[in-house]
Amino acid sequence: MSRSSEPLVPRKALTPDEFAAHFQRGARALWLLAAGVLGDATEAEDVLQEAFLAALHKLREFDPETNFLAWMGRFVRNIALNEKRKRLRRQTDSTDPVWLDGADAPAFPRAVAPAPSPVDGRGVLRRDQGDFDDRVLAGLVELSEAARACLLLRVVADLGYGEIAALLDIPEGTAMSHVHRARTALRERLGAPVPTPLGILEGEARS
Amino acid sequence: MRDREHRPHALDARVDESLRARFAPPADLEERVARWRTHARPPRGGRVKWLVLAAAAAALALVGLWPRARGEEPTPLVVAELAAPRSPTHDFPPVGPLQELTPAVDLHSADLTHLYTVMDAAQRGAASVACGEDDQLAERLHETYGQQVELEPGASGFLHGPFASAEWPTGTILTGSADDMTSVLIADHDDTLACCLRMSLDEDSGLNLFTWKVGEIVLTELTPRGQPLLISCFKTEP
Repeated sequence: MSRSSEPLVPRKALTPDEFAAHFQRGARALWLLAAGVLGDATEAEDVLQEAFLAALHKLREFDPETNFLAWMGRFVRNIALNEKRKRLRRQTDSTDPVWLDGADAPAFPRAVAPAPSPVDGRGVLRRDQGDFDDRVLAGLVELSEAARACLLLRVVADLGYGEIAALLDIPEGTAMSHVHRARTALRERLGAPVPTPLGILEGEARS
Repeated sequence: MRDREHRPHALDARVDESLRARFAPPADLEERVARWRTHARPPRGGRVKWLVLAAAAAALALVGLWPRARGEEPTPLVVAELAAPRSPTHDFPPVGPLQELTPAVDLHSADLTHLYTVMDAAQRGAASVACGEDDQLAERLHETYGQQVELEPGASGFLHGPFASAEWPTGTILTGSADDMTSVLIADHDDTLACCLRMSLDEDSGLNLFTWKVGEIVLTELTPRGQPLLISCFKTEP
């Protein structure tokens, strides 16, 4: 009797149909991963489709005994990052349309009024803030790609930290840390008091 | 104190609600994936075919194209011939943003580094311009170069284009990406390459050149990869 740990039956590669079935099950998480890396949802599906085709082409390289979503996550991340780089390059190469009409460029940036806090002095959320979603999005864009993806996968897909970590190929603790920091950054951005183990931060709501 | 602790949670809940609304995946995402599956099948053939193809193409690149790039007389390349072309049975509509091709006149120099780095199509490879059905792409090549070619099943789902470029006005350009690397394939008539086109490729471009001759059509692949990717989408044996 052999004591070898080698499998007696060779591992069998996924068929394209099996691949598609796996992909369908993880499609929402992969879509959110793409949206998280890109920072918006508009091109997430294009990235997903490109990742689908690329992975289908490399199907022989996938070991069915490993985590499918982790394997697919690499394709999605790489393609989304590449797309983002191209997008940045296009933005860098283009001329600011505001200046095309011959108007002089502003000598200094315009002052931006601080956004009002979404909570009133009693901690009750104000209901008259139609731009709240836009401010959340603006805050999200300022986060790192990893933090953004972690937050979306946690909040929208309701994934566990272990699953998020596998998708992003990072330690589980790092995934937790990203979500925590992303939430803190968004709270700061939205003007709310930030809780600390010692209470509210200096300068916030002391009255 | 309790009020203070409660504030961030209320805000978090509202942020979560906002994120869920703005980043909701399409409701029919799974159905869309199923459609991708039906339109995209990987090229047939195993590792052996890849290795043979890569070795032959690399040899061809060395023997046939580098002398041409240096301005020497090109060596005729005959590697694979297709079966007799089939007669088209009906007209197909154009399958991509193909521009009108200008006829080959005089000697034209194609700066392949420029073509690869500047051409928008090579840089995007967007799924929105994926080729149509395999037959349509084959038919387009037939109309352009007078010879039928056959594609591996699903090749058109992987290839993008056809595009045109002023760098290579007589070439039909296709792109495809894998592993975050885009490859560019240019199909052209062998006679045009022999008489009227000289190619140049910067040594430090990081690009490799592979060619494959199918009947009278020469497929030239420009890629940062160590072996050709897009050429395998074409059936190169009778």
